[in-house]
Amino acid sequence: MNIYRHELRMNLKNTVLWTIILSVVGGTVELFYLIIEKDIKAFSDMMNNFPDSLKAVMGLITENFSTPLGFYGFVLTFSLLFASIQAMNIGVAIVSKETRDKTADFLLTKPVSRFQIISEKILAAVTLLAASWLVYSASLYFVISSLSKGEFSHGKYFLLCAGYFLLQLIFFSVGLLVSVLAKKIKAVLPVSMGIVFFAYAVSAFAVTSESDALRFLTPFQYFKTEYILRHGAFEMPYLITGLAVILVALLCGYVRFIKKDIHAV
Amino acid sequence: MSNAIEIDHLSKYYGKSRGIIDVTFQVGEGEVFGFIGPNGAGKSTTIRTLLALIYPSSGKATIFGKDCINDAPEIAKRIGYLPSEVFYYDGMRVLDLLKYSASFYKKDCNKRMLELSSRLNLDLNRKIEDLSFGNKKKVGIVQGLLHSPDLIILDEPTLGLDPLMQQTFFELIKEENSRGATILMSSHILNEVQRICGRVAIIKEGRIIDVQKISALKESSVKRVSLETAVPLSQDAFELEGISDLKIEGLSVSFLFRGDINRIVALLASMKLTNLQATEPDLEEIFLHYYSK
Repeated sequence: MNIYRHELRMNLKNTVLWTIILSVVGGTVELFYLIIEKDIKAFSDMMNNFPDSLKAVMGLITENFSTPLGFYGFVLTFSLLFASIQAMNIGVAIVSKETRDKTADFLLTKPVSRFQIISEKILAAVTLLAASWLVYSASLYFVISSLSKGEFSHGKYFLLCAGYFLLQLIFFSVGLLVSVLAKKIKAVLPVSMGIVFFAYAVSAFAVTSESDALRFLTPFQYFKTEYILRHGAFEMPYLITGLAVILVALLCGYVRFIKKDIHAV
Repeated sequence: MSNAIEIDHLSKYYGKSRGIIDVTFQVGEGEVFGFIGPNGAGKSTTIRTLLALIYPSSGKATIFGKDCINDAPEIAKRIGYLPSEVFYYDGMRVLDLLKYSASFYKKDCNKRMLELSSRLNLDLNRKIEDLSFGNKKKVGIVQGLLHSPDLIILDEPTLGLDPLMQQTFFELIKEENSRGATILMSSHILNEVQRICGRVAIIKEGRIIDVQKISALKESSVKRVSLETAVPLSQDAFELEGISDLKIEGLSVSFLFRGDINRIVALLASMKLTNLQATEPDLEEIFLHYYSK
């Protein structure tokens, strides 16, 4: 487990930063509920005048705005975007970093199999993401709970949190796969932001499109906040698709990493 | 003596372009073996295949009797490798990196690590990214040797080391060798191969063109012949098998000759000479000679 410990140490600072920013920003935006609470009627009317497509893209469900948890659905549209970038970043970086820093020759000539190397790296990344997710979820739980004086659906909140983490896992696995398929990744952020924003844009298309087919193409549509808030459940076909994406991406990532030629840089 | 490394018809293609073709040679246990050729000849490709960093297209190689691909983690316990490229993890101190390196081996490497670092004047508390190129290279040397490996693989090891450090480095390698370690060292600088290696494999355009003892290589009947003639002679006068690198400048003639020395004496006897010199060529010249064929 020395690689695992090493990876935790190397990525700790970054994860702490992401966690603080996500929690503070998410919690702060949620607090805006205090301001609109008083004028909820006027606010809702204004929102209703927005074009439907815009509301759909922004995840605005005005009927939900009257409760702190419903308002959190709005907060989530942004939190999910950045949480996805966080997950994808670490997914893309955790293997490609070795090639960029020329440490691949160091690590891969040690008495340890490639299977073990990638397993420990994945485990470390998931540990960090999970820790970050737990802190974020606990912070927001605290804020929402105080705003609603303890009265809100814990089940729905839990599902929203689970969707958040699953979405992160999807982007993490896809990032990992992209990084082992690519010959060399010069910089992580442009790659991960590019893919996440693309998926986000596709998601905007998907909500305005007639057919549901497009929704399968973007993870942002798999665990829809609106649906969870309404029905207190996941949409099965999308949940299964999401899990399948994680599984396939990880599997392909493993195979490719184990079979890959590591070239001198 | 059993072999530490056996390479058997090893080939590697990158798509259609060549990496190495049909490379075959053996390195005996306890040998200091050189691997020379110009840049791009396939030295690194061969070494990287031995280390399972890349997969061969065909052929196989064994190290200590084990398959270098399938048994890579097992073999790696006994190998120390110094990459030609300098590497570092962000923000890590020298000591952290060395400890990380040592953590892969199931033995106590602490003593050896400190010993090597002090021999090389390496400051353990500096951050690696702040070190000069030569000092980073030293980190590479220490991490490659701290577990007292049985086989040491060096890829262009002296790149970036000043002459004094090179001296220390070669001393270290010699000590490791007398302890019993086998050394495989690639280089495009003949001088350093000549300095410590017993045998050498010469690689050109992906193929091994010769495996020789260094002494044999130097003593092989290659001579550098320089002479001055009384009258200008044309190239035709030196049409003889074994002559290469022929240069004629006015009355001065110079060439390399390989083969029975009597044949060249017979040829020269027919000429009117004003001066004659036959010297041992240095390895560099022999090397060129091989490449000129």
